[in-house]
Amino acid sequence: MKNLKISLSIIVAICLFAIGFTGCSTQKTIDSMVIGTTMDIQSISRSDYYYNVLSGTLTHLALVRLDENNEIQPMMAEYSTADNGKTWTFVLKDGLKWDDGEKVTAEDVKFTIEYLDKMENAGRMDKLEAINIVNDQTIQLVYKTANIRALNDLTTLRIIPKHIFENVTDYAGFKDDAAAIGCGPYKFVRFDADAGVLEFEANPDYIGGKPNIKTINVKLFKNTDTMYMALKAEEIGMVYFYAGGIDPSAAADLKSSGNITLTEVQDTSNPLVLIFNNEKTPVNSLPVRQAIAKGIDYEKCRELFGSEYSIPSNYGFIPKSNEGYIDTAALKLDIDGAKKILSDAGAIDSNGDGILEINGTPLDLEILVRTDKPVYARVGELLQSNLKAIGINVILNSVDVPTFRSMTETEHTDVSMLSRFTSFGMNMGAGMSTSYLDGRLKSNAQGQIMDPAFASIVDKLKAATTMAEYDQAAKECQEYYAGSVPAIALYWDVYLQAYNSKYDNFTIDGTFGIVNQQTWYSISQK
Amino acid sequence: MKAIKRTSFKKEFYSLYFGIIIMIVFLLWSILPGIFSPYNPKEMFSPWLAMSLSHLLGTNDMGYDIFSELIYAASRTLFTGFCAAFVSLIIGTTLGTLSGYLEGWAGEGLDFIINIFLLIPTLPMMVVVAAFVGPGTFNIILIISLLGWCSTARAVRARTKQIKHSPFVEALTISGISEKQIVLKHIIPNLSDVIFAKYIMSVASCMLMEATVSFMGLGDPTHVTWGSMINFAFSRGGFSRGVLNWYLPPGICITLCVLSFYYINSHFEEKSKIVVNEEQSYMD
Amino acid sequence: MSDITKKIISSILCLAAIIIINFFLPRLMPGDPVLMLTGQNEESISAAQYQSFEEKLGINYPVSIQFKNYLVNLFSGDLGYSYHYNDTVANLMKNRIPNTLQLAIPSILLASILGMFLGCTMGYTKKQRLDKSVTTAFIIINAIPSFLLAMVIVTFFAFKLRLFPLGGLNSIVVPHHAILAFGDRIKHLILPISTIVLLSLPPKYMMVRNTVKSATKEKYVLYAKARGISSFRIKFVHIFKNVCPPFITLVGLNLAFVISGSMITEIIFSINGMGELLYEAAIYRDFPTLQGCFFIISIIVILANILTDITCVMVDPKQRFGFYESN
Repeated sequence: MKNLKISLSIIVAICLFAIGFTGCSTQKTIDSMVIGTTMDIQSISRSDYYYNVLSGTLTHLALVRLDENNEIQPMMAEYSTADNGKTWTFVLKDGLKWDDGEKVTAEDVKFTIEYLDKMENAGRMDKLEAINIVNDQTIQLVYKTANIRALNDLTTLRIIPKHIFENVTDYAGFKDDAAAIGCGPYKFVRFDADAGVLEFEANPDYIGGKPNIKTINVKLFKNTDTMYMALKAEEIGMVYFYAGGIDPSAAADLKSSGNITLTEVQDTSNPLVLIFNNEKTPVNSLPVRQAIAKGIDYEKCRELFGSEYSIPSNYGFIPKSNEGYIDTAALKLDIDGAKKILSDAGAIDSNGDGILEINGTPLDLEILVRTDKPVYARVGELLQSNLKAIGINVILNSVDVPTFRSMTETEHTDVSMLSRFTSFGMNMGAGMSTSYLDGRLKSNAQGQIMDPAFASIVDKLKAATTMAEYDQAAKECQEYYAGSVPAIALYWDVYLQAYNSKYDNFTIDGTFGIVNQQTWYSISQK
Repeated sequence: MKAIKRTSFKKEFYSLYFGIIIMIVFLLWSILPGIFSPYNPKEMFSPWLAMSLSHLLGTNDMGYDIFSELIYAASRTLFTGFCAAFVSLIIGTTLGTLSGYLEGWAGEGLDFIINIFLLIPTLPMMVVVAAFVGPGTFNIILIISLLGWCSTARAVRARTKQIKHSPFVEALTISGISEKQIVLKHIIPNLSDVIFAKYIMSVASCMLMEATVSFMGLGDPTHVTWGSMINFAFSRGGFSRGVLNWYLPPGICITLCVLSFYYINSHFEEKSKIVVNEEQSYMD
Repeated sequence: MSDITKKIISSILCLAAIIIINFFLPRLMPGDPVLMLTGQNEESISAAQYQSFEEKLGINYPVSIQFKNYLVNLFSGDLGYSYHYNDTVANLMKNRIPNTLQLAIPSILLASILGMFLGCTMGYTKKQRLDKSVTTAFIIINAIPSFLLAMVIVTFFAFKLRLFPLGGLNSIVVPHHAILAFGDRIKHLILPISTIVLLSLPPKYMMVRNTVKSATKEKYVLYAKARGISSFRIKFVHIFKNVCPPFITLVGLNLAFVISGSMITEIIFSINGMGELLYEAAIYRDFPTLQGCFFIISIIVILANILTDITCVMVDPKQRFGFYESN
């Protein structure tokens, strides 16, 4: 009896010690974490853009992924290529299973490519000559022309189960729980639209083993301010937005609250750009564009809208750490230079109102901004006061989103606009932002460059069969941008990611930032 | 708000003085903003400065001096309020007089129309219309006035009915004066006290409506009003940082403005013994 | 025509007016009605899709036939399809209505009771100074823009003092036990409901206070006093009876205000109610949802109005007899 007591007390002591020990050290297993986001998720349908993105960090896998240095790494499959990037072979990893227990096969990959082409006009089939299923786990993609950037495109192709979707015709309307079946480290549990909460639990059968956090809740916020308040009040553990960070203007405040850590992730996107409709007066004239580029106070712009890590942008437009980046001249405020360019171009202020005229027409620059993002109205105000100093009158035109999109993307009735180019968007098509600027494209193409010189560069980018060829064309492209100023990058920046300081050891990923499938295996809690 | 009719401060003129002084200040702000504001509203300083002597209310996200912006916003806010109230006054008076004066189906029909508009939930309706017609000061004025005339119409109608059955109008009718003359020359002038009281109150309610619409981001973002200042504070980090010196002052200005209208109005209502029967708030 | 029949007829006409506004607004506005009604962008819509929408909406038919179809759809409960949410508007509303009512009904009840109680007390009290300060306080509250009041309440009670959650209707992880879950919900409802109550209280308070104040000079109150009836009984029994009918009318008229007030409150407290849906639809220019929301809100307001009118008739004998005579 006495022995029992002693042994019991020893056990108790060990337990207490263990609890005390784990209490003050970092824990690898975390019970639950809440991620706050303002991503506008409406349903778990695969057509819901932001849910689709979120699923890529938790439940759904792509064939390959981008790592921290923007290099391709295998994810679902090991890859290899033959004949100069025309044929790509993928071998699926062993033991991948859908959440409902079915095996993941090469058929699923083939189905996904074909199905998304049909449902989302993904446009992959046009580029493909054939999809060959070699065996259950091996699939071969044969492109019509050598496609050295094929893998980049596949990083966002999230594979879906054929046995679920083959009978789904209403792709957008399919919101059943089965729509969320994936093969990643987490399983979808529920979506409470009413409370704005998505719940995911660790998938014990995942080939990579059990992730460190048991339950992940994603809380949807409508307003960033309320979300930051919730982060400060520790209601949520971190905030996340795909291809974006926290609002830089909130950074100092979050930092000073004491319980929040900010990390920066290299931003390969263009966070703030002024895009000219190169077909419209007055910005169809090169001197006017050059003068505008010299008339903007970039430092003030960074101070007001960028984070403290933001850096000056260059005339070459494409941000650093993008494939093919070359150094070009940095954009700088140079009022005298701007005035000189304008007067050389024959602009004079004949009526003394402070606004210059070219051939009697005053230099009015209309800048289109969208009403849903108040920051653009603010940037517009800054440009207005900047450009006034060089004699250009800025007229801010603020319109709602549908009008904005139809004016800038299809009708091209705008003169210039403010926007943000995501890294993914700039890499679309021939890359180098050409899909936003090439006037030959029917939709998007806000830049409306009709210059044949530019068209030939775009064709070169498309025709590249090796990376060296591509980089050469990319260099020409940036030199073209620097010379002709079809659009101005106002600054380059990093994404600031904010999370509660009790968390540590996030992994960074080129597509998703700090929320990604690798993070769930490295994250720890103090 | 008409519920708050006669309060008990009968012999006290403090409230009237309070109202008039505030109104004068705001009117001066809107007419001569340059004299009162220390800076140009678009002059940029360092952002997020705290309150100090050189920046009485600090600076906002753009580094604008909040106090200067507040003063410059007065004119646009009051302009919207006065214009919208004026248009709704014209609609309200016309329909109210007609429906009070006309007998039979015409008068009843107009009364029905007034009652129908009274039932429409104003704010949701405003949001719907604003979404369709898009932002812009002119649109905002139009929307507010098209939806805000009903209470004026009701009060005018009641008063017209009262005057119509008064002996002097009956005497005019008997002496063969045309109806048009009676309405234009005798009834409408006698409505002036109701119209004035109603106008003042509807400026207040139009200002509140404008502030609400601007706050919801459906206003005109290129012209600063007190409502849009709060909207910017809400959407550009002022709320989460707790920058009270940014979003409280415009709110207090709106409140003071509405209060001053209320006090001026309640004084005149008292004086002219207007009994306005319907009870509703500014924003229903 | 008695007042009540008149009221019901104008309610029905109001509904008709709203239907007409809803129908004509997208068709009269500049811009493509197909894109407006489907809430689509031109760039995201293919020619085939466009045609099928055009057919579905019947835009090519004469207006009279379009209107007929519109009415048929409306009365069969089809409020349209939101392409922004990828769901029928009816479905969207179904989830949102209970949330709004959860806010609105307790707010109406609380505001009515408080307004009645405070109004009677302050109208009857001999303490002039107390009456004056309470009344001034309400006048000021009434002049504060609703969103500012809500923002200040969130800042102080939720963010600075951390007494209540910042928003939403539930904690992120809802407790499993039913009672705890209920408590959690109550905790989330306190601030938004207090906001709406504060916003809708002033007109009620004023009306009751002023009526009571003038009633205290009337004979029946003086007699009651002379007969030695307690002031509590005079306040809450004798005067109350007289205040009731106009008060109920006021509460009815105030319903629309509560709905509007809850709209602002829902936005600031991030509550997924109808007001919030309407707001979001306005931001994304999701016209089908916008119209559906507006239609349902109007119906609720109008029905509530009819209901209060009937209640008034039941409570007030004078009106009741008037009602019977004219029929």
